[in-house]
Amino acid sequence: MIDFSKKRVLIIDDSPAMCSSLRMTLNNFGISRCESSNSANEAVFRIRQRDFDIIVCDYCLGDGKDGQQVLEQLRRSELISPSVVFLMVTAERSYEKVVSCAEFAPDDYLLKPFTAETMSIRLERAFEKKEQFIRLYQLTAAGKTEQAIAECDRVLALKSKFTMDLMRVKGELLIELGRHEEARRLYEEVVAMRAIPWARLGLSKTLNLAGEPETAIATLELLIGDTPQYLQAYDTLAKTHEEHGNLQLAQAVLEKAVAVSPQSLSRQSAMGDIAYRNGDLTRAAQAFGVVVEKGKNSYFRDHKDFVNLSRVLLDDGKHDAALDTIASAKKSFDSTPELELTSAVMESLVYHAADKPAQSQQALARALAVKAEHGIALGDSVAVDLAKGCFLNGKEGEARALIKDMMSNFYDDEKIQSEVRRMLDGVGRADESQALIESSVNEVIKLNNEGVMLAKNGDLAGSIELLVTASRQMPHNVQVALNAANALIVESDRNGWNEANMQLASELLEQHAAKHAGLDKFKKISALLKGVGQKYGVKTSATH
Amino acid sequence: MQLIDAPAMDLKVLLASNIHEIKNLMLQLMLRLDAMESSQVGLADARLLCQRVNDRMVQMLLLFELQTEKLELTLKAHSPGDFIAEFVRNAAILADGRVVIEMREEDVPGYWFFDRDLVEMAMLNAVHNALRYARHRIVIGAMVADGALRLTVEDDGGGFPQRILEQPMTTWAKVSQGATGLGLFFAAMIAQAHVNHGRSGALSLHNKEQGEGAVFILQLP
Repeated sequence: MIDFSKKRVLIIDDSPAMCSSLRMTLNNFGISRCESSNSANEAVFRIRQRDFDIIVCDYCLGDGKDGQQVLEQLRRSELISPSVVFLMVTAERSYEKVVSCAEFAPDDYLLKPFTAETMSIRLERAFEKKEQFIRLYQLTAAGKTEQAIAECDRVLALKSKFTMDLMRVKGELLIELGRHEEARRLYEEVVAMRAIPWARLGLSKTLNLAGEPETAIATLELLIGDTPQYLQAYDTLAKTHEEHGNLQLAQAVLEKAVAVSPQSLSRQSAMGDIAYRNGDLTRAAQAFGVVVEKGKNSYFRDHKDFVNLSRVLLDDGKHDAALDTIASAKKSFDSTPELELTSAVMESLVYHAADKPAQSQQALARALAVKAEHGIALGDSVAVDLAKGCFLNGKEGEARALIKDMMSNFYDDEKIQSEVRRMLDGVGRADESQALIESSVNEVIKLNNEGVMLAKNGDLAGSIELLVTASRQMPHNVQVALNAANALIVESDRNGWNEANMQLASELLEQHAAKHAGLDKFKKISALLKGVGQKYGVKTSATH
Repeated sequence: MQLIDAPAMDLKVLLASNIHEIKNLMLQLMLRLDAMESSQVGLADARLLCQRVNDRMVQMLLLFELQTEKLELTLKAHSPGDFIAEFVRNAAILADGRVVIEMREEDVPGYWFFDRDLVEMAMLNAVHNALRYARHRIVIGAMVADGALRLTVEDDGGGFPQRILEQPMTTWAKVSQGATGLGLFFAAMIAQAHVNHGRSGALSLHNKEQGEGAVFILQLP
């Protein structure tokens, strides 16, 4: 039996009468620490103030908000830890459909009306499950994916009632580590039993990863046909189209998803992004406008939404509206260096377009000053904006440096490259783009070669220093990471086990596993890591 | 057996009869609550009346739904053991010692795919019926036989009326069969909607020998 007396509960229901009935019931279970909120926002506020063990939330919260949104926001933003029990209360049987297609499911839900006994049983069960999963949560939170998979296998071997939940988690972990062949077999096993939506979605992801995008797309289209409310399936389909360069198709798919769930702001934001990249400024402004408008009273709003909207308005020639949007961002958020920088960059661009060069210069100077003072890591769109501002205001040197920095980091990212190309095009420097992008990539290659050369000539320490530093400067560059990992492992192989180095090597590999585990070089270095581990009798967390 | 077209049923008549039934139940409930103040009438009867009102409402909602869409399942893996334990614990409260509620679990796997809400609706109706008619004992069970999960509710009351056992399921939803008929009709419909690799589920009803009670079995492949 679970001791409920120490549990702290939050009840979220727009009806105060229902809150007090639920509180009475919980009191009878021995729960005395019980708070309630009548709105989603107030609930989020309370959850930020203190930790709860149990959240009981009504699905229908009035004001167009529903409990599922609250749950998803809380889980996505990690405002509640995985050990918190979230119980949804709903009057409608159709909620089961919502849950079966949701990214985040509650621990359980109660169909109204329910008895106190049922509520107590469901709470007991939820805690029983948490106990089984606690180790898994800890490992996943610590990023120990390899060990988390082992933990899945351990609990799966018990053949408990949680088998399906474990399979689901394991599939996701396998994909995270780039072991999509294993994940595929797992999903196929589930689908052979029943065509459960999450297994079909997982299967399509592994098909795409295995280089069969057509089959993946067909699978997703079938899945959407069968479960039109499965939003993640639309997201995955849009992403697959995007990956293969079909931005128009991606936009069409997202359009359908937005129609199914206009409330989801993250999806509206993705919609705005893809419409913008497709040059569909009207649609982009509309989507970002919804994000800004609906997010106004939400804890989860982001100043980037305002910046995105402002950028679209600027491109559309609506200078005043663009400036208003930035002004309203500044009013809506506490001032941070990041906000200061991004808004100054945007203002500089708008003033330039509005033919106010002095103001544009001034704003840019402010942005550069903030950057120099705080050394903020820039998001890619902001970096492109800043480079653009520099070009427009005659600071070519700064502009080129910014682009080089981005390119060395994201040399294999098509999306960012095309963003940079378009920007250079826009500032009349299309002729430079090839050279700029190439020279940045070449610099990376040169640096890489230097590192490899040092290693070959026996200067392992020098090679490690060069490559590890480089991999920190360009964390997204897989070639640099692999060479760095290689040098680190070889050093241990030759000179004896070096715990810190080997740890760093396996971290480098894990960072790139999801995207690049299929590379031959990746496999070779993973095998080397394992081999060296075996040589010294140390268990490594190699990914293959 | 072919699924029955729900709109073909006489919705108006069914709803009206259901509402009448609810009013009767409410009356009984109110009288019982009034009596509770003056005498030592137990709570359990009032609780069961509430449950039966709710069963009727759930049926009406389903009737409405079936006017516009066909019955669609949301399958998920659930533990059959946990599932029936919940009925057992709730039934024990409703029985309040008047009858014994037993749980029988035989070779039940850790999980089985079914629509929890719909199967729960079918089972609750059966359990509430059993609570009305049982003399001493109700057994709620789960077992796997012949590749199907069998969920059972057995009582030691007077058994199902012959007219229910003899007539085909399609006629159960007729008003003349009363609320029990409609509940059983939905249970059969829910069982049938559970299809796995071409096999559909079924509801089977029978009486024990010498009229020693009713046996309700939902088979879910």
